[in-house]
Amino acid sequence: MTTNLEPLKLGSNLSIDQAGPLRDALLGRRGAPLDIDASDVERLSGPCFQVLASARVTWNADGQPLAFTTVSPAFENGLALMGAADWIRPQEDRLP
Amino acid sequence: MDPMDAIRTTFFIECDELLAQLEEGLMAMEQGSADAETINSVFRAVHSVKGGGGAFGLDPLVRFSHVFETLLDQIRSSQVEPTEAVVATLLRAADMLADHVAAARDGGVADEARSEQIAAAIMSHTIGGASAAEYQEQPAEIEGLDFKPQMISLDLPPAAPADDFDLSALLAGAAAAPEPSADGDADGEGDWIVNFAPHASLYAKANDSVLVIRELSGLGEATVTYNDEMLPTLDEMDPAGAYLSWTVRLPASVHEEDIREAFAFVDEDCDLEIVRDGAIEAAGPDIASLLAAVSDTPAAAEPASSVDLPASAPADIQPAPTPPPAPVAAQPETARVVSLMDLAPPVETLTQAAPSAAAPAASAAVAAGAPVPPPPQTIRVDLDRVDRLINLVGELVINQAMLAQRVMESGAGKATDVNLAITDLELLTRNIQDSVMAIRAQPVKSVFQRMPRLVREVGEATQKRVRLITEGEGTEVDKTVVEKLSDPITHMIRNAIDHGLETPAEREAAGKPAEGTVRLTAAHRSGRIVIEVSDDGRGVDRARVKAKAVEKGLISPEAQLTDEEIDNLIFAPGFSTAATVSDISGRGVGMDVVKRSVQALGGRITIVSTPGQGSRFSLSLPLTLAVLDGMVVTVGDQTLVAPLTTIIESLKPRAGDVRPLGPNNFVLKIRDAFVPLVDTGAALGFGKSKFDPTEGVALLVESDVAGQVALMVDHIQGQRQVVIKSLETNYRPTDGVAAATILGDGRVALILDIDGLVTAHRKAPPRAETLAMTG
Repeated sequence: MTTNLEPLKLGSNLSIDQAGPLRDALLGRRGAPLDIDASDVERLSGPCFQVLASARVTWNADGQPLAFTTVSPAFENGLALMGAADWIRPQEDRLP
Repeated sequence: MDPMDAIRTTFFIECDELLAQLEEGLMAMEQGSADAETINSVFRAVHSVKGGGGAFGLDPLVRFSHVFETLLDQIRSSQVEPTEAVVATLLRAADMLADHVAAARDGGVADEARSEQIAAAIMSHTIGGASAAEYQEQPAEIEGLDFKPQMISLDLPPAAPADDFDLSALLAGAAAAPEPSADGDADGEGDWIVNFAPHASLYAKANDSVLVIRELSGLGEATVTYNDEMLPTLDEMDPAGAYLSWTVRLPASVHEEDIREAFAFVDEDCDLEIVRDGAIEAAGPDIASLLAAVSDTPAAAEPASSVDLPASAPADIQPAPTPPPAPVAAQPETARVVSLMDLAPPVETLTQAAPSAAAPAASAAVAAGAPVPPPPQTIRVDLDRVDRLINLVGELVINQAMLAQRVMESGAGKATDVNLAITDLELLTRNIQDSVMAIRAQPVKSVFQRMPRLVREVGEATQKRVRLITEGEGTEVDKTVVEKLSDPITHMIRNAIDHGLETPAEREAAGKPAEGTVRLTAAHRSGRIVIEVSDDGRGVDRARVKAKAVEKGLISPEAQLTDEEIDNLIFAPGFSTAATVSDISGRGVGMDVVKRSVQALGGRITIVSTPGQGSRFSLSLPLTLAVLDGMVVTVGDQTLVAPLTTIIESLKPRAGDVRPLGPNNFVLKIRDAFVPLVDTGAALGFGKSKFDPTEGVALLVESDVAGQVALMVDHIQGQRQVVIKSLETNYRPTDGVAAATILGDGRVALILDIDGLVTAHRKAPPRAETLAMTG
């Protein structure tokens, strides 16, 4: 785990119209390390992918860690499809 | 508009820009600044015109630009010295290239004999230059002869082979069933590289980039990378925006049609490029390290050597002009912009950069495509839309004036807050108007840039050596004015060279340098643009001008004219002093046409000439043709507007200062001078039957035809900005009236044409013939 805070749990349907709420939810967690729980995600749209990509850029710029703690197969496939398989590449600091 | 037509139109618009860039670079070279950057920009301009021309199958254009480009390439690689003779040839070649472009655009054919002649001149400077026969035989689409761009690969991830020649991706996107261009199909199949940049509209229409990429991935083993260079941080991003783009690499075996099929529903809402990966192995280690130095991409790990592109290789298998896609799962890559202006192929810039290792790092970096400050962002807008906006703003100004008047009439204007609100509205309206006008403001550069060619051609035709000096090219003026400047300036320059400048022998005999100078300048002065064309020639031959005017019956032999009046005779209709009517300027429609066209623009033209030293034509024009700052006056029961720029002062004449001159005329004493007094009402055909100057107000105005003149009006109402409405379009041309406007009370007021008014007033006096000519 990156933080002791509750992970941000993503909804199951990250459709196009969820990009705004997702952005708001992420912005609400800005300034602190962030874990994201994508275990329920069934669908990932381009705009939501874009918001998540921006979150990575933002957290990186802030010097704060951002990690996906658990991911669903659908989310993993979605990332791979969009060329972002490395987002959830196993990292030493969060796996035993 | 048909998508193909739209692309074609864009191509020709960009050609104009490239030709301007070419001309500018060559002019700089002519003046001795043949630095690598200038030569590169010249080369790229020709190269890009050729590339686009190839895509549209404009064979003569491509053939010519190829020969042109070959010489430029040799200059770039220091094989050929850009001597004065070489640059002169390049300038002629640029003119010819412009002709080819114009012919292609207008569906005609350029003068092929001249094209061949100039191509031969180019080849005579080219090392190992091809013969004229080869020029004619050379297939348009082939890179060849001795121009061998070096193909390089930097051991980077596969580069998109889209070069700046090849509009095929765009064309294919526009055409229903495009023929594949001579790309990788012909020479071994490279993988497909699909660059896909969704627009926000794609998502707004409920389409999704995920679906497109999924469909692409279903076509074969796909490697997807995303580009987040444009991606802002969360707080700055619009969730509905589109910031990411993708590069998808697909196996060569996939059919292009299938790839396009994936974009069937989104092709209008994204930038799309589909190209074969055609990069060839190997690169010089120095080039690789150079590129590594200017990019974040690691340098080639393996040593490599450069490979020459076979002469017969199709033109479009070259490395991508922009930085190649990053490796899978790598750092963000530079965004790929699909644009016709994507014009900096590394194959050229690197061959230039490599030998310049000793050159300043900055120029090497520029040559190698290092980050340079981005140009200001611009959009192209249909002029009709801007015009519509300007019209609406004009209506807004009128409405605002009407509102102000209604408020005044209702008595509500006495309340301070209402008054303040009206003043604020007026200020805001004025700001909006200025901002809208600024949209249409353009530098006169576009007109000035056409003049070097004119000077060369006229100089050649008249066997005179001419140097053109231009100043103030950045001076901005309304687009409509810019467009109308071209003809008068062209004619004035022709006139200056043809009639003003002497032949080299005459000049030397007169103790002048053999090369004559024509100076073209632009500047803002008192809310107007002043264009001056001056020469250091012989000046106006006044004796000859006067004799000619008498001979043509334009003036009576007894007429006593001042030097200025004689000089102004050249503006008289049909006046021409050239002994033989030349093709250049003496068609008898010369300066009077210039004068009339300038006057039609609300401008004036004057000439100052010194015998033996030259002449100077000054053209003074309003900055815009849409609004005017005017003095609103009353004459009889009419409201008139006098352009503020012409008014020097206003005064109430005293009885002792008004002196009669002949039976019908008066002069007014202003300080130590007498100026003619013009009864404005009478000159326009209305007004009081009895004229008493002491009852009205005199506007001292500057006229071109009679210097300072006092216009008598009944009252001055005040200064106001008025929207100009054409009287010619809406009614008919009227002497003494330049245009009309609509006042706050809804009435039409005439805008005075001061020169026309003075001329109308002076038609009756004894020297009418002189005035008729100068007016």
